[in-house]
Amino acid sequence: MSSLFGNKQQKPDVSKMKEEIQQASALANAQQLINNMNNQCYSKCILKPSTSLSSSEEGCLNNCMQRYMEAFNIISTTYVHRMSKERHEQTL
Amino acid sequence: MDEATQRELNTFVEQEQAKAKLQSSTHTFTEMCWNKWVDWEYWEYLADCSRCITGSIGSRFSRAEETCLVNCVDRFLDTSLHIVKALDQQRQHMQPPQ
Repeated sequence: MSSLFGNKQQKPDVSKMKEEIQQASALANAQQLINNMNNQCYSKCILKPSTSLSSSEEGCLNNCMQRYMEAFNIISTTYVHRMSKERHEQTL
Repeated sequence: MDEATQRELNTFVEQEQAKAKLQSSTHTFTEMCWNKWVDWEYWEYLADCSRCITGSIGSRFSRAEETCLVNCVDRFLDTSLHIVKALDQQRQHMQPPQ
């Protein structure tokens, strides 16, 4: 198969492909986190939407973002811990 | 691409997909437990009206709030295990004696 930039046969760079897959996955993960955080923090902080964000609303959003990411990390750790525990019990 | 490379990539993609599934579940649990946490905060407020709820979110999770999140995901997983086991028992019960 000829390459797009010439006829030289190029060996597929597997490690580069792996890296790209991981990056795509990390991007999708971050996008989902941002989306969910957006929805949850909007409904928690913006009770009466007005013409612009007030400083207290911005403060609430900042706190909410930090809390949401903290919650995600706590739940991630708990979940992963639980999964490895179940797997360990299954192999016994 | 040779066969060995293809196989290596397939395994890698499978691993990444498993990770993505785990992450996706984590997002679902976070959303679910986040709402539980907000409800729980409200419940605290009802139980102890002297506690001041300003509507803004505090600067750090308290120990109790963190415990609430951990319990939330653990009890959810217990619930799903319980349901699977109960359904399995029901199914075994329904099977005609051999």
